[in-house]
This record gives sequence, structure tokens and C-alpha cells, in this order.
Amino acid sequence: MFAQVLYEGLTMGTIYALLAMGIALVWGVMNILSFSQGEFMMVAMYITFFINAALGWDPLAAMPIVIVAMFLFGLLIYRTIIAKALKGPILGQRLVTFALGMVLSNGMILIAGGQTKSIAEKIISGNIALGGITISKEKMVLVVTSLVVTGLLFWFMNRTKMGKAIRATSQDKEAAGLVGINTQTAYMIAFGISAAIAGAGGCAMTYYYYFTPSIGTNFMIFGFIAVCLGGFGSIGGAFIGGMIMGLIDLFTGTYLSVSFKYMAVSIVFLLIVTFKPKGLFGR
Amino acid sequence: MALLEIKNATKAFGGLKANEDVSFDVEAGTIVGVVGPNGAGKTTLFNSISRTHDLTSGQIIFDGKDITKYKAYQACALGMGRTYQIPQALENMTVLENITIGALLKHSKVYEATEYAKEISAFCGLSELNEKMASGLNVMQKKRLEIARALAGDPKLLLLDETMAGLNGVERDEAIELIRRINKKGITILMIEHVMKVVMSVSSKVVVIVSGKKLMEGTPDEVTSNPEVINAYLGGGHNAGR
Amino acid sequence: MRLKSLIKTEKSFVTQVIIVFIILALIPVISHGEFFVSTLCLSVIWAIMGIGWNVIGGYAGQVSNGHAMYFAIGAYVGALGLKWFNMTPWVTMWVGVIISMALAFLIGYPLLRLRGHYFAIATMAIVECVRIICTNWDLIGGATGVSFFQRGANPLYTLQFENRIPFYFICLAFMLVFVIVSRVIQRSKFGYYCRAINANQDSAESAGVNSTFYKRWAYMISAAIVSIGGALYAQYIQYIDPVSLLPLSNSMLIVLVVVMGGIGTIWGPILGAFIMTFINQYARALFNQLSGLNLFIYGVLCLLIVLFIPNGLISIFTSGKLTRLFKKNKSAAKEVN
Repeated sequence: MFAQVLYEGLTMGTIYALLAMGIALVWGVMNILSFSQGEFMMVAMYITFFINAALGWDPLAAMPIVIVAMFLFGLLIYRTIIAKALKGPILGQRLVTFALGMVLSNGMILIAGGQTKSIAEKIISGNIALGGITISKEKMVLVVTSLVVTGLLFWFMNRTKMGKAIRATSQDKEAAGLVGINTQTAYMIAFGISAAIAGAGGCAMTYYYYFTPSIGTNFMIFGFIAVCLGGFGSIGGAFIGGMIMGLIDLFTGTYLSVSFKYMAVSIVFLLIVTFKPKGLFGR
Repeated sequence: MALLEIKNATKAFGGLKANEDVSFDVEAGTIVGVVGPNGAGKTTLFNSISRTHDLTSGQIIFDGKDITKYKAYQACALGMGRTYQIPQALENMTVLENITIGALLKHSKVYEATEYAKEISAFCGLSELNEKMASGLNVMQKKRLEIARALAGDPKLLLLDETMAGLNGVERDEAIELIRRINKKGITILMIEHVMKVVMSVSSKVVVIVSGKKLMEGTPDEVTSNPEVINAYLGGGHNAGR
Repeated sequence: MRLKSLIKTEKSFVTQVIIVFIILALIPVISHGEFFVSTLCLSVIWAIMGIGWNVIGGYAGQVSNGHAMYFAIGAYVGALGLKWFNMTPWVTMWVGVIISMALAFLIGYPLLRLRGHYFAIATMAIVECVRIICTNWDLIGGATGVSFFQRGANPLYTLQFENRIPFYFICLAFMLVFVIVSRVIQRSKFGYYCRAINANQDSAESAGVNSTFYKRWAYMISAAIVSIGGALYAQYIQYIDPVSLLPLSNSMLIVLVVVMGGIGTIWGPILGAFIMTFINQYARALFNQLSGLNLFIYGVLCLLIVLFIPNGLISIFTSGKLTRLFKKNKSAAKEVN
């Protein structure tokens, strides 16, 4: 039982981690608390769904397309909305992402209807029994995707020129500008990547989860909390924060009550910020 | 009796000691200058005195009270006003409102505070800018505004952090004149200044801080003739002689 | 004597109040369709909540994303008071205010030490806890909520009217009180200090402002006003449940209403509340075949307003943009000639 819950918790954690890393990237680089990240995931789910419905492709096959599409979508949103909002007050930036989320989720209701959707046929399915644990292969797809995306993100941020530019920009915008980094491009790419992460996450989630246009708002706040647990806008911290959230979620859900799992997460968060206002790993 | 006594003030950030064992007194009614090369720890000392941050060890006595554990607003209420090296005006408020914030310390009715703020504004030569937003001021005007805001709280002691930096000759003379007028009202002044000439011309006592420690204190003449000071400060190729 | 001089210095404000409230009082004369009047009521309730949020979010600059909590407290206390004890909302709304202020006092201490996004997220997390408590606490209705429709009782006692016009005037009276409260705060030492904290907290502290104290009081006053809004809303809707009172979107909509109207101003929250409520209600009624379209339109409008009128709709009236625009057109016309 315990091992099973631990496993499920880590699985759940990878989802939170994906969500949190996207938020942390935008937070760290342009100091925006992005309320639309959950809706980006939702949009990715529906793109996967449409590809599946129209062409019969498996979500795994559609994933590269979804990621590229979401990256471009992110760039578009940045150019049309975020770049303009960044010139205004911080509160306006936050509200713009909230309004964008509202537009996306309700726009999706208009396009696809409010009903619950899922993808019926998947290449990989079934369960493996391993010792005392039952491992769902569908969930494994999710876990593997998360880990690969996390790995790629770390590689990108630490090894590539653009990644280093984004990190430099997030640490000190003015200094980055002085050493010749085009901070506007860094912002735009960071926002695009954040959307692409949501793309990978959303696409993988269709492998196991049902979804509706309003799914994004449901776990938004937990993405924020995961980022805070990790500490101010740090991507590594966000990943760990996400994993912690997954564990708290599953353990309270299993051993206490499903309805109190969100509350447990919130309480843990409130206790941490009360005593460590900069997050667990914040300096 | 001294208005301000600093006793063995030490402030460390992590392992780095920004101030170590600094002690000196500020007599009531005088102008005292704190000088030292960049990074000597002058602003850190100011922040400790004005209670922006806590001392690692040591004591600050102000007006007979031990304020070592006070918060910034409590120190202010006791009669300590300050300005910042990088001006921290309340950007989206007008000049008059900025000064009114200071005046509200002693006048709890807004219209009384505003009237008093107008007087102070005139005293500091800001009257023409009263209705302007603080964000629209230049650095010199912002520094003046900070002095006015601090003055409006009727302080006993005014801490001035590099009021002269970046000013040209004429502006500097105006500022010196303002400092003298403030002092004439009976307000004690403790000022950090990088421009040596300014300090020497107005201060009755100068404290020299080098690498976080007090090198010496004395009259301007004593300080300028001390070979150690010349070596540590004037010899360092700084723009002190200007 | 004092009153006379007060009216003199506040001449423009008094004029504004008189004009705005005469217009608002006369609107039902022009049209008193049921839907129209109930939309008016809802607008005034949102305006009250906006005025409340504006105290902490606008004046003191602490952007709470969790004011739905105080809205819900006001609503629940009013609803349960009437249902369980047959107590009039005239009394229970003040009980709600006391509970809200007490809660704001308690959580204000740890919360208000946080800055920026952390404060916003923490306020959201607390509402989330409250929502779960309400959903699972069967005593107060649990997930099904509380229905407390009381037809036949004296409407002045229950505040539940068949014809909504008297209710509208009651809401309007509350709004008048809070507009005045808002103005008094703005013109007082308290308001000046709040604005100083908003502008630069460290700088304000060194000018003698006890930021912890003022932020806490701003938070409590704000909670109290929003709680009254909740109490009125409960009697307006006569059915409450956690899903309609405590979602994240409610907390965010309070913020949106204020920002779109004009944050930190007296009339901004009211303007924002009226415009956004009317758009939302009529879009919903008009497009009830197409679910999602009303909120889609609402979202697009919010985006446009926040992006292109960052100081809020009220700035169109106050910044002289209109007159400038007019003059520009005039001079452009001259050039053509």
C-alpha cells in the first residue's frame, strides 16, 4: 500500500512539476505570475484530441506537433499581449494572464463544448504488476515524458547560448542588456518555452486523464504553490516543489480524505511561507 | 550630553563585516561628517543607526534611549529623520504629498500637516514643484525632497546620505547653504559625504571610516593633516580634493 | 462651522456624490424591468466589494487575491442567521463584519509580511482552505449550500423583496456610506500612510510609518466592507453554496472590477462594477444558447481594457484624454479646412 501510494504520489508530482516549471520560467524571467499556464496545458490537451480525432494519431505521435504548436502559440501570445502588458503595472500583467485564461477556457467551450473528453485508443496501455505495486503503463508515459522534458529543459538552460541568455536576463536584466543579450528575444523565447512545456505536459496527460475546458483553473493554484515551495522563480526548485506537492496530495488523499488533500497542500504552503518567506530553497 | 552615541557597532552580512567596532558620539546642535572611500561601510552604518537593519553587535543610544532594537518608524518617531543615497521618493505621489507624509508624524490632521508641509517646502526651495509628481523630478530635486520630507517630521537628528553626490558647483553651494540653515534651526546633522570639500566646510567634527572600521575622528583640520587619512583616503586616487 | 468648512474643501467630491447618486436613483424610473433592476442591484453589490478591496489593494497596494473569503463569510453569516435563528440581516451583517475583521486581524500578521506574488498566492491558498471547509462542513450546508428563501415575511426584516427596487435603494444607501468611508480614508492620515506604503514601504517606514499596523488595519477595513457586500448578495440571490461564492475567479473578479474601473480611486470601483456586471449579465442573457460566449467576451474586454487603458476606465474622465481628443479632432479639422 505504502509503496503504491509513494509511486502514485511521484507520478502526480511529475505533473505538478511540469506545470510549476512553466510558471517558474515566466516568473523568474519576467516577474509575471502567469494565471494562464493551466489553460495552456488545456489547449495542448485539446490540440492532441483534435489531431487524434481527425487523423487517428496516438498522443505520443502527436506530441512533437503539439509541442511545436504550443511554442508558436506562446510566441504569438507574447508578441500580441505579454510584451505590451510588460510596459504596464505588475498587477496589470497578472490580470492580463488571468483574462487570457478566461478567454482560452471559454473559447474552448465554444469550439469543443463543455463536455468531458478523453482519448479512447492508445498504443501503450494496460498494467504491470511489480512486486506489490501495480504500475499503469499509461501513467508511465506521463512520468517518462515529464522526466525527459525536465532533462531537456535543464540541458537547454545550462548548455545552450539562448538558455544562458535567458538565465542571465532573469538574474539581472540591465546587466544582460549591457553584455549584448537581446532581452526582448530572451523574454519571448522563455515565454514560448513555457508554453511548449505546457504542450508536452498537456499532451502526455491525455494519455491517462479525462479533460474539460475548465481543467486548467483546477490545478493552477497548486502550480503556484509548487513554485513558491521551491523558491523564487527557480526551475530546479519548481521541479522539487512539484514532486513534494504530488506526495502531499496522494498521501493525504489516501490516508486522510480526498477532499482534504488540497487543503493539506495549502496549509503546508502557508506554514512554510510563514516561517520561511522565501520558500524552501530560496536564498 | 551627546544626542547620538554609537557604541562598538558591528554589522556583518554573512561572514563579511561591513562595520566593525565603530564608536563615536554626535553632540546636540552640531554637524558631523562621516567620510571614507567607496565601500567603506558608511551607508551600512547609516542603515544601522536609522534602524533599517539590525546590528550584529553593539549599541545605539539616541536622545538618552537605547534604540538598538527599535524599528525604523520608532526611531523616526523619536526624532530621527533620514535621506537615502539613491533617493527613495514616494514616486506616485506629488511633492507636497511626499512632504505631508513626513509632517503627519507630528500633525495628525491632514490639513494641518499639509499647511506645515507647504512651509517646509518653501524652506527647502521646492514650492514651485509642490503639485508635481515625485516621479517627474530629477535626482537633485528628489534629494531635496527627501530632506524636506525628513524635516517635516521635526527631527532632532537628520541623517543625510550623500546629498551632494552628482551635483554641480552651484547646486552644491545651494545644498550647503540649506544644510547650514537646517542646522541653525537647532537640528543636529550627521552626514555621509564622498566630496571631502563639502564635509570640511560645514562639519565641526569628521569621522573617518576605512574598511568598515573607524580610522579616526577630529576637527576637519586634524583629519586633513593626518597622514594615515591622507594615505588611506586621499592617496587612493579618489576625487576627494575637488 | 466645521461641517461648513468641510463641505467647502470637499466641494467637488460632494458635487460628484450628488450627481452620481441622483443618476443612480433615477435609473429605475427610466426602466424597471425585473432583469434590468436585478442587474443594477448586482452592480451595486460588486461596487461595494470593489470599494472594499480598493482599501487594501488600491490604497495600501497589497494585492489580495483572496477577498472572496470575506464575501463568503458575509453571505454565510447572513444566510444562516436568517435560516436558523430567523435573525434579520440588519443584525447579522454586523456579525459577519466582526468575524471577517477578526479573521483578517489573525491572518493579517503572517500574510502581510509577504510581498508581491507571495502575498497574492498565500491569500489564494487561504481561500482554497475556506472553500474546502465549507464544502465539507455539512452543518453549514456542505457542498449543496444553503437555501433560505422566505416569501411572506416582512421584506424589510428579511431584506428579500419580490420587487427588487427597494432592495436596490438599500444597496445604494450602503454604497453611499462606503463611498464616503472611502473618501474619508483617502483624505486622512491613514489613507496618506497607506499610499506611502504602496509607493515605497521601506521609505515610508523611515518617514515614521508603522507599515505593519497600517497594512493590517487596511486589510481589516477592506474585509469588513467586502463582508457587507456578501451579506447583501446572500439576500439578493437567496441561495448560496461554496461553488458560487468561493471559486478563485470570484476573488480575481473583485480585483478586475477595481483595476478596470481605476485602482486607488473613489469612483473607479463603481464604474468598473457597473460596466462589467452589465456586460456580463446581458452577454449571458443574450447568448444563453452558446455557453461560454459571455465569459469569452468578458475576458476579451478585460484584456483590452487592462492592456490599453492601464489606469482604468475612470482615467478617460479624469485625465482629460477626452477633451484632448476633442481638441485634436478640432485642430485636425482646421488643418483640413
